[in-house]
Amino acid sequence: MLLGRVDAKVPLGPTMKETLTPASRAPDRSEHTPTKVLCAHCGLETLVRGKETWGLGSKAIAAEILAAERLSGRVVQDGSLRPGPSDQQESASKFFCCQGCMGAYSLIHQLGLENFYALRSLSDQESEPVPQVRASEILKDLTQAGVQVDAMGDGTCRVRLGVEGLHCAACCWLIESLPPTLPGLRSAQVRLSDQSLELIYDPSRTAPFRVAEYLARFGYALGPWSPEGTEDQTDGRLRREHWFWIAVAFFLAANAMWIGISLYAGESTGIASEHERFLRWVGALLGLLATVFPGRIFFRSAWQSLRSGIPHVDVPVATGLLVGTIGSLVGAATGRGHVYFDSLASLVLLLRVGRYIQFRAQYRSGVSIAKLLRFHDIEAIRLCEDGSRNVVLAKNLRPGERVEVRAGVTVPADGIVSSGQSELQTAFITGESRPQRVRVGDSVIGGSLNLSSTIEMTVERTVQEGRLGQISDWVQEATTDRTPLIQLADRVGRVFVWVILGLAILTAGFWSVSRGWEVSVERTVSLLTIACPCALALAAPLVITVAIGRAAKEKIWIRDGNSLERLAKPGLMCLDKTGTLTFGDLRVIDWSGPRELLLSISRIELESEHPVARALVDYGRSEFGAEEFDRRIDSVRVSQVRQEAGRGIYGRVDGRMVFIGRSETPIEQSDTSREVTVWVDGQSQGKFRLGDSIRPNLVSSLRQIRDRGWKLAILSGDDSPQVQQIADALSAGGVELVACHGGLSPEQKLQRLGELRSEGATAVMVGDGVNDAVALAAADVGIAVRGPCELAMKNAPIFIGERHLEAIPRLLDASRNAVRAIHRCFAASLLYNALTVGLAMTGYIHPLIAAIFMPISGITVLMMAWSARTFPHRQEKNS
Amino acid sequence: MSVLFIALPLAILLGAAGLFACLYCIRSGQYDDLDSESYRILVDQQPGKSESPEVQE
Repeated sequence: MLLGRVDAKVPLGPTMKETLTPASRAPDRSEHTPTKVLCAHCGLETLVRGKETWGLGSKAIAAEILAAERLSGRVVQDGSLRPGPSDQQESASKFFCCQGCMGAYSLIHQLGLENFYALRSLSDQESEPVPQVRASEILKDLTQAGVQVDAMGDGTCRVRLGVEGLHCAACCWLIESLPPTLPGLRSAQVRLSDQSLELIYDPSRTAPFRVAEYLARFGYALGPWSPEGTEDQTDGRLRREHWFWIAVAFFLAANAMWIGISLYAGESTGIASEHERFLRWVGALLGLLATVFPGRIFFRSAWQSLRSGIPHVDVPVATGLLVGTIGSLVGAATGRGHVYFDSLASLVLLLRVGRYIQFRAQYRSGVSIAKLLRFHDIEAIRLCEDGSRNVVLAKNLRPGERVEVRAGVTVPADGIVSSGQSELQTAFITGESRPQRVRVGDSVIGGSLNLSSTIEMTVERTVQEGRLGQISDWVQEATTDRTPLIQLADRVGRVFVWVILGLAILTAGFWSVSRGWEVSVERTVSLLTIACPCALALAAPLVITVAIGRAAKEKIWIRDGNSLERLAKPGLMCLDKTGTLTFGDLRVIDWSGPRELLLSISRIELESEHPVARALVDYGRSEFGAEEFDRRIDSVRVSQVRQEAGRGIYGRVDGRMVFIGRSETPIEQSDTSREVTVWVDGQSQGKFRLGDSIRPNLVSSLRQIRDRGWKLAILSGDDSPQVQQIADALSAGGVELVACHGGLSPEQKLQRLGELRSEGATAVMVGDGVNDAVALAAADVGIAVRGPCELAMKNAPIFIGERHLEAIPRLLDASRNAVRAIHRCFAASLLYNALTVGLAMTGYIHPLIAAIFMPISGITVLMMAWSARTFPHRQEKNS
Repeated sequence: MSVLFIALPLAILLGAAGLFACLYCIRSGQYDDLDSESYRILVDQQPGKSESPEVQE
């Protein structure tokens, strides 16, 4: 089969490295000076070295173009595509960062789908490297993958699969343009909102796995689409339910309103009495239907609230609906008094819309958390006892099973590495932006990304039960927290309900005695309708929920809503040094010596486990870039490596003896700043300066925090001069500290914290989630910026997973804006109610106007809450 | 004016037909994705739709 053949020529993923035989790694590579170009497909900056680039001309490309031409040759019957040698020429000047991109480019081009690039440039997306995607093997067995296959009438099948790698219209268009090029595939429909794809195909001629293989070549990964999809599907169902009832309510309200208009018109111009009676009854019917069907939920929740004895917003609403309905029925029956069915129907509609908006807001914040942690569709390669492999969904893994994790793949479960070593990206859970190295025996966290090479691991817990699952549960729970402001709103809301009911009885009694029952009904209904504590009750939880959801999107995990409120008022912020202001481990600060020597040094230090060795290797890797480093390090031959404890390490490279270390004094562990010298054949060739380096942008981040009115203090356990250095650097940068203490024990930190907070302001502690646990827990708000997230979150309610201290100013802004928004909503709501209730009681507001105003006020307040600038949008990847 | 007695129920019935069509659309999930369509309109033509003749192997 054609596809299979091409795939064999264009290996993807980790196997790519292996196809570069040592012969092609010729030493004369360095003769060409590298130039930087942009990848024609993904736009990634890439290095070009003479003819050995992934430019066109290499054999693999020729095969690729040949294949694509054949494809297009077949497709040309369709009339929509064209083959052409001109394409080859055109793309001959293009460069690519990898074979994947090149393959995708030539394929897209040959299929005549160049529009993709034009469309993509329209959509203003930031370019990012196209990931190396391989077709998910789990799709070979659809039943095991839990994919539901619907047989269609005409012998075709329909499946819905999840797609990864969708960005914009161009991706949509590309995927949907593909079916004619793949025999047996009838149609492909992308759904951007939940990143899924519906395929209709002929099962006798193709299979979803073949489609997945095909799409993988364009950089899209297909997988099972949340098979049980717990949250997504119930939310989808609820949303349909909401729409359903809004549609019904709208229909009833609109018709009732026309009838209402006819009646008003009839009143002023004269109308036959039988017509009037008819219109009244039709209106009554519509209004009744509206209260009975779409309005049912209000009665239900009012009834529940009465039974449980907790007053709820829906009690006055339901009472108003009830009084209005009865009054209007009597009115319609006797032909006297007013009929409010139009108002009732529109009231129900607007209430329903308000409910939907509220649901939407909650759903959205829920979605962002669920989306972020998509674990339902992670898949794993399970290693069986007999040595065979099969692909399973991560959630079906059992503890004790062994799993293979390839490079570029998400770790499918919590577990222990049983063979191989690699680097993992674990920032979301450790706050450490640098990759974490793992070797045999190290534990790995499900959800982290395997960056460099294949490892095998033994499963301990699935992701849901594991650490990531735990965190997401906490965050989810936090959104339902009753923070002080929410509690206040609840209390006020409860009192409010009783006050309104009392006022309603008063109004009804007063007006029925003085002006008769028709007037009394009218004014009571006005009062009950227009009084709306919902804004009061909804605003606070909504703001908090939305803020927590948006924070989670930025990898700021908030475990409790209270702390978000507390951060609103500036107070005192105490910072730990190690790991917070600095990186917290040894790194190379400075290297003076030839760059090429770094390779030999790294090669020797790879043999050592010493922290200094790790720092040097990391430095070498960062100097050359991981890819180049990995490629070149293997060709360095090293022998006779010998470590001398406390002094350094020897090794022979290319016949020269290299010594890295200290000749005179042994390296001391406690020393935070130290020097390491490199000797080649007895000649000093270069010098490393090592230390715990200060985090970048530290001064500017702290200045931003100070500009928001916060006082800053450093409380460190480290008694090195670095504490003072940082303080000096800060004051040079214009950031003054209230206090700066080094060498504190945890108890002393607590004591200092107590002294500093005595002024009554909020005391915030920012630190390492593990080492500063005590201080974090004792502070009013603990913010952990590092450490295993779930441990840190036990002590600190807030964990910053990305961007470190730089995220704090945003967090502070979000908090202040959230609390301000809540206050604004409260004020608006109370003012509105005081004003309108007074007017309604004295009879200045007609029920119809009340019905319009009530939801408008509610929605206004909800919009105010929703649009509160908590975490204003930065560039977001997914729409 | 007595045409009102026929016209009004008729109008409401017609409206109800529209309502039921809408309810059917909601139930069948047509409104589930409102994001892709707004993009799709930017694209001129879609050769990949099922009505295009299928390529023979």
